[in-house]
Amino acid sequence: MNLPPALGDLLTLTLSVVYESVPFVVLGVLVSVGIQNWVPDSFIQRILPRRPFQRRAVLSLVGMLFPVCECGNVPLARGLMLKGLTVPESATFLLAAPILNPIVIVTTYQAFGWDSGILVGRIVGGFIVANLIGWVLSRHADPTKMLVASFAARCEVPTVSLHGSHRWRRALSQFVSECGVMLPAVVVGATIAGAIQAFIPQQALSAVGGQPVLSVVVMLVLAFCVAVCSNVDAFFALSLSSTFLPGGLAAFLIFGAMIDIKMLALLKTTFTVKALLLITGLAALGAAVIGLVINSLV
Amino acid sequence: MPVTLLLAVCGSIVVLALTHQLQLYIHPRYTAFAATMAAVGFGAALLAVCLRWGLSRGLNRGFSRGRKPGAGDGAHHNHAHEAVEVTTGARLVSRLTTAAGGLICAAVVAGMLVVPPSTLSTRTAVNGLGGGGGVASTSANAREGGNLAELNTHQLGLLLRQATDARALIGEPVTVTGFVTGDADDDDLLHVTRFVISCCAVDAQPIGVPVRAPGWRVGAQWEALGEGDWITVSGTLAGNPGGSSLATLVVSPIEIIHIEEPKEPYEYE
Repeated sequence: MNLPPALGDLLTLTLSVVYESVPFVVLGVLVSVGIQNWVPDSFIQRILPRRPFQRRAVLSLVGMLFPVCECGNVPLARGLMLKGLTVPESATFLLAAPILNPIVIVTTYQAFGWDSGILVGRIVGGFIVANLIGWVLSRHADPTKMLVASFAARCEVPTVSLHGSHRWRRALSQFVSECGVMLPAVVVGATIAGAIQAFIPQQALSAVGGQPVLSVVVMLVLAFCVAVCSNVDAFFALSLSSTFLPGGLAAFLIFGAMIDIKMLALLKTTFTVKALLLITGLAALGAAVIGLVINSLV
Repeated sequence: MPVTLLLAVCGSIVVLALTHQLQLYIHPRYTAFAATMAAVGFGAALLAVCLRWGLSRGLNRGFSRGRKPGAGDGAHHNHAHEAVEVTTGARLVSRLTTAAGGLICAAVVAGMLVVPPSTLSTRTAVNGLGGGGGVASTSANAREGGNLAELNTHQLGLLLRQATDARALIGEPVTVTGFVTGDADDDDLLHVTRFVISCCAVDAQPIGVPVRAPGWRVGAQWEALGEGDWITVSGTLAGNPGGSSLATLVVSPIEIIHIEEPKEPYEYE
């Protein structure tokens, strides 16, 4: 069965995102289920600092231990919230981990070296933006209101400690259930990302690449639409380096690692629409400011 | 449905990996990881189905009876609290959204299972950003020891765009393989193009090597070519004699032959 070229490309692009993302989602769910069933709550609370600002800063660096694509971080963040971490803390982890992990740092260095402040901008900017958003969320009177009702209710229920085969069966049930929540979101997000790639010509974007402000704006839009994993998005950005200014590339690398269409679909399983609009807006604003600063300095 | 989706997606990944077709969608460096995780997901889903089947036959009555309310079983809680959300929230919007999501998932799974794996079409090459970014490390060293012939299509394409001393490359023999795309500005130019992938097909960027072949569409000197045809071109590098294209260096062909689409149609970063 052969499809018309447009539909064929849509299917190929959609499936490529699905096949790339699902293994990381499975890994993230495995780690999350493992933490929920085999890691005591007291252990997590013991190793984290007490002050909220320091806790969020430390959680920003968890990605150095679990260098998982951003898709895999969503089930992990859900698991951490079920273990008692607050919404701002988990959100900080979600936004920082895709950038502050060794694979992303190495690939970004391979692509750009120390040129134009892109690597430093990505690492430092990613840390600052993620922690700023975490701080803003912590100012909310009741951060749990930012969660969808079903997940918020799950967070309120303490996990009963099980042993032996009962624990394994519960872990299996949780694994399948969590994948059942994540996978439809991955498929829907991948379809939207594929449709944008298949039907919207990208050539018009290159016309404004040399303008300091517009290059940042355009790259933010591109980052949102192109669902590329943060592990290798530096090479994608490198292919655009002759068209766009360094600040635009840095904004792409910061914002794209945090938020894109596929991630929004995944995050919708956990956060309310209002919360996602706030997080997306703040991430875009933070990445834009860093991009504009880099363009002004270069 | 969730278990079905997990089985379908993970099973599809495993089958594609075993038949060496997963690289039509993702970079080969992820194949082993993707296949392993997909096998784990498939196995877990299958085990869950078997356990549930056993439950329905009364084999696992002890497990379901032993659970206390709030025992932390995600599936159990999701259904209970989703019922509350539907009755109090925007029921119609929620149902429409769920139905739309379900339709999309069903369509994608149907496509996954029914449509043979395929590559991106030339349509994406024409609409894409066109790549042409920073010089890859191998192409930067291409002039050392006359190893221009070792460059693949996208590396040569990048080199031709970035070359600072074009005259030093004139006369060098090259052979490139790719699919045909036309030049937007010069009817006598065609581009031998390959998609370059960093992660998966969604980040595929088309990069081409310009070939000066007047009348290529009508078969003036070689067999007539169409956009999307796979060809191998052997020739030498030459300065672009004119036309409105921005290419300063082009391939002056000695031979152009049609080929079948290769089993690995993409090139990888």
